[in-house]
Amino acid sequence: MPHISLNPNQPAQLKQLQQLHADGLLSDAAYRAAYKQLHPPQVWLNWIEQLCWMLGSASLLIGVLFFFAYNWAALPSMAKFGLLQLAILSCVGGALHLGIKRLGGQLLITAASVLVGVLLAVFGQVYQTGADAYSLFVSWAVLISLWVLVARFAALWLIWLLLMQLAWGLYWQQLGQHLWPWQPESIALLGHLLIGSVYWSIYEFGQHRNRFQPADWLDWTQWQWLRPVLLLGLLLPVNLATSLSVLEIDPSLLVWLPLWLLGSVALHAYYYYRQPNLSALGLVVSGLCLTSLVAIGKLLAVWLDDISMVLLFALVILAVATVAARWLQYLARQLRTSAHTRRGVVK
Amino acid sequence: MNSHRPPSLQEIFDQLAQQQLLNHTDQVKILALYSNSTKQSTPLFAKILTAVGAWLAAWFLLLFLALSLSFNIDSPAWLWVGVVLFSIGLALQTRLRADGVFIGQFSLAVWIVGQILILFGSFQALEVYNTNHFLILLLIQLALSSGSYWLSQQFALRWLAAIAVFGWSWWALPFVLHLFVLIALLCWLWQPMKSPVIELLQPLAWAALWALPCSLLANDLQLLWFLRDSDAAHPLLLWLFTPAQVLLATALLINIAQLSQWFKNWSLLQRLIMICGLALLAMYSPASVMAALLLLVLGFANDRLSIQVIAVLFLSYALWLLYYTLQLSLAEKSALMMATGLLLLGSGWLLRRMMVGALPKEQSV
Repeated sequence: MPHISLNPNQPAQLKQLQQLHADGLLSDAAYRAAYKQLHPPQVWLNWIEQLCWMLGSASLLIGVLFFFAYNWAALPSMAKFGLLQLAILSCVGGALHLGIKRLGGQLLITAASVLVGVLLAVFGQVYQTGADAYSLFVSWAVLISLWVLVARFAALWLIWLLLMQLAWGLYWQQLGQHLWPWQPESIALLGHLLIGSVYWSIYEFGQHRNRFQPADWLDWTQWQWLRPVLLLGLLLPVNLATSLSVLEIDPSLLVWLPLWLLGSVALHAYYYYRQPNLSALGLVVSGLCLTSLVAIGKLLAVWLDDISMVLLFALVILAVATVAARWLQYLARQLRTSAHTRRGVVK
Repeated sequence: MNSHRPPSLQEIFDQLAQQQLLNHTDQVKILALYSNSTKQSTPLFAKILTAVGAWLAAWFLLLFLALSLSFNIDSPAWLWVGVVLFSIGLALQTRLRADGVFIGQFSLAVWIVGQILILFGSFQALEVYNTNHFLILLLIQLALSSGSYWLSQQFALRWLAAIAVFGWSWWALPFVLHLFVLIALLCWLWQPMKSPVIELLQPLAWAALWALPCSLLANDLQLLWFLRDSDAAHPLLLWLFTPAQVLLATALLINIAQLSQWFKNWSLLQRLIMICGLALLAMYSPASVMAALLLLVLGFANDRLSIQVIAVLFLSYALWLLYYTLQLSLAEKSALMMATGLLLLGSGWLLRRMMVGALPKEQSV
């Protein structure tokens, strides 16, 4: 039974060869020869080279941090600032020398961005500014924003996103919730949702634009692994907020329930029609399932006694998971069929 | 970054045809079979949802049993209820394998409840004898999981067995050893891929899986009592943390020697030297770094991003642990780190030079 689809003119994938080998259509010798074509020595060398650059940069950076940690107490304030600034300048200089489009340059810019945070922390320590922690993260995010745009490195974008989320979380914890005491969890999650939405929108815009008119500053959006991470940044707050408001049956339910439902449906439609992607659909469907289960569980707990509730809820979990799995199987088939149709039209 | 363009399937087939490893009829047959197939194996998320659904439902079923059956907590009846549920779950899985997602999930949930109750009942029974619970529970767990997988051949059971074994090892073994167990389990899970790299790691996989219960058994029986010298200021073999590790390493290496083809044409002396070298390496703490790197290679060789991500996480932890436990001052550690970094960056630069140097030759060919 074929479990894979083969298009002879598209780049081969290892799993296709493994499937053919497992199905007995490629002999051991043929499989080994095909594997060597797919992973020739040059690919291995490239990979080892990249590994050396990444591990080497990390070790060097950590070594420098250890050095500072060892001599920290003995160093005068100006020396601390000087050394950190020198390290930042060296990283930026190295990145410019290597070229910002190469992995080495991008890693050095990332290192410089991390060191900016260390510099800000040292500033706060030396001068005892007494500022709230969130201001450090806001300043950090603002100061590195130009580098993020210039470096076009997915990992640096992710660090930027984390800094923004952290800054918002800390702001809300330390200041915001005192200014706006009504529904503090909901507002906090709404903030996380908005930040996540901005990054997700830029990513999807980049994905769309790269297909027709590639833009240099959106290079980083070609990294596919970033999609589920950014999508989680969108799905987690909305599902969490809806679940919390369902469990507590509070007034914010009126806002979150339609937002969750409409948002999930819109995302589902987007990843089915506009940007077909099964993993993204899987995440959306999983979110829908989990929040629905929370709501059903709450209703059952209100209506039934404990014994009936746990038994019925176990069966409901199985039913919801079954429906979701069936739906995903159906979507996978549909996406596959439409991909075949498109290929046929192109031919 | 990566200048290599992956070849298309047609190019690979052409090359295989040139090497007389694939004839034209087989090519046509393969393409006819697969090119228009709209059938696909179950998507990953569907599998995850099914497994998570069954696992979650199992806890509620367990809660239902606990609420509705009024046995004492230490009653042997739990063990028997577990055996019955385990058998029902397994029977449903083997008999009704293809009869839908719901019944498959339900049987998996019942199977999980049965297994939890058997382990719970066994734990209660063993309390009386004050014996080593962990070892016996581990063996029961392995027997239940592997027996079920052998009977039903379901991939979910293979995963559950693997996760269970890894969970036990995480709890009971030092970091170095559970990394080896992780590699072993991943090899076992990905065994059907038959990748050349997996094949090389296969003996290690089996060795680790065998050595784990063996070493714990040995520890339990105090076979290696003579290596224990805890009263001495400088124990006989300081780097051998526990007797269990010694036996694990020994069992692992003997298995490697027996099962692998690496040392096929080697003399006995050569084998012994290699095994002693590996034993020293495995017992030394950087072994965890090596294991993590091995995992990284495994992930890359199989184009599996998930394994590579796991490996990077383990590598970070292993490196942190290694430098944390080094008996050096912070200044010396810092110098060592910087030297390692420079060495790696230098290696990267050398590799780049080598590849750039090799390129014109290839192009001229």
